[in-house]
Amino acid sequence: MKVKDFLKQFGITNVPPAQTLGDSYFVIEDASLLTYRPAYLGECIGHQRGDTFIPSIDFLQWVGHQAKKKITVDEKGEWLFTRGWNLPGKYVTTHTNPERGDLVVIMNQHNECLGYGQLIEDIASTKTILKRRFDIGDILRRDRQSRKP
Amino acid sequence: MANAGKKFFNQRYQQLGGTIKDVSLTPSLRINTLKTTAKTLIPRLKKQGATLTKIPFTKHGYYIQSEFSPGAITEYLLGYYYLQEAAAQLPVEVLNPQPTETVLDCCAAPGGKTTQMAAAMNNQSRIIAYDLKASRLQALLTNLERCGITNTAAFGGDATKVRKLDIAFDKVLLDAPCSGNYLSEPDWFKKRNHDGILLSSKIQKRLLRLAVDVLKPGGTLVYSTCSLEPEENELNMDWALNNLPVSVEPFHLPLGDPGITTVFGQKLDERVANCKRFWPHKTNTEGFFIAKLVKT
Repeated sequence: MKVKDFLKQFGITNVPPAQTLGDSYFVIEDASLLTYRPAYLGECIGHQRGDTFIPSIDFLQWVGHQAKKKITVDEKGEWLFTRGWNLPGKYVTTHTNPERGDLVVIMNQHNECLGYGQLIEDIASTKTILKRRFDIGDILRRDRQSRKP
Repeated sequence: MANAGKKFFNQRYQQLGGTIKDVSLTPSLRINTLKTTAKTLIPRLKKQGATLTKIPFTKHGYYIQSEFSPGAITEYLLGYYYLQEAAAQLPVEVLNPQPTETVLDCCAAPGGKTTQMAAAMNNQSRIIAYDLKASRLQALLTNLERCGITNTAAFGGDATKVRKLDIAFDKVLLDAPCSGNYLSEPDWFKKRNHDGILLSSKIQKRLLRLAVDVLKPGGTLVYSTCSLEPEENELNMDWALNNLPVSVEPFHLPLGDPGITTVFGQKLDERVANCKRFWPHKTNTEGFFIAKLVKT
């Protein structure tokens, strides 16, 4: 999945002009250093992990504010979600009426995007309603992975 | 071993006017001003049970006391702060990079000082960052991303590769790879010996020569280590004064001792006293050394 396809899932058609460096995507204004093969240059918007596009922390915030289908969770829901859990409905405080099967972004009480997931139950249900696809805790898991000998 | 062990190092430190004393370091962080402010972040963390106390000798540093891990909450993941030891925040404050300057970070990973420089430069102009080890480079890339850095080009490999870029830098940060100090890792006294320190010193001299080579005339180089060993600090500065086109300049910090100018009977250039040496028992920080050099 490329950036365009990733954004399409959220109904976003405004695709930034990204270039790849290794497995990562960047928006690069000054390309003069590209010939020296940097590992990081400009604004990082995400990474390719197998077939999946993983957004950077800041790009996720942009996606979170552009997406139409949103769920806002309370602090307990935030804690669970950013530690990789699926989301029970009782932690939802507000939403934009998404339907079962929709891909929705998860916002916290500060209007920050924590990640996204797929709605697997009716939004009003108290059962687990959302299957987590990605959360910002990924950055810690990535860091731990890189430290393994 | 005659050139290792706690007794060996303690004897050396006593000859230099220091000693070994266990110091309990309070965890500290630096607020990432690219993303938030103290006014916003402090009450937010307080609500979660964390107390932040300003580190008086830093611009954006705070001691943090909390019952949770400050490296695993939303505010950390979103890059609102960087966990960074108090003394480690000072080299960049001494370098004082500006939004119009081109800066080289010779040994950048895991990125505490790189992200601090980018914040000081308001993500403007350009930082070129290198790190040799692939595993450490990944940590640098992750921290650049987390902190929202957009003015940095990071490269894997030896910093000597920077010569290919043909850039004359306004400022260079050389936070040199070093032997560390007894507070920086468990069993430090068992792991280190004098031969290893001499090897570090050799690498540091090579990096110093490179850093001065790529610096503009009149440009500033800040050299720092978290070592207490004079071979990696004052003796390197004395070598630089004798072998490179630099002066060692004074700078103001409210803590730290002057660099030592007589090391084990060897008299050094008096300008070495312009450096700052942080003995943990005096500064309540990690062991540290900072020097400010200007290319002549």
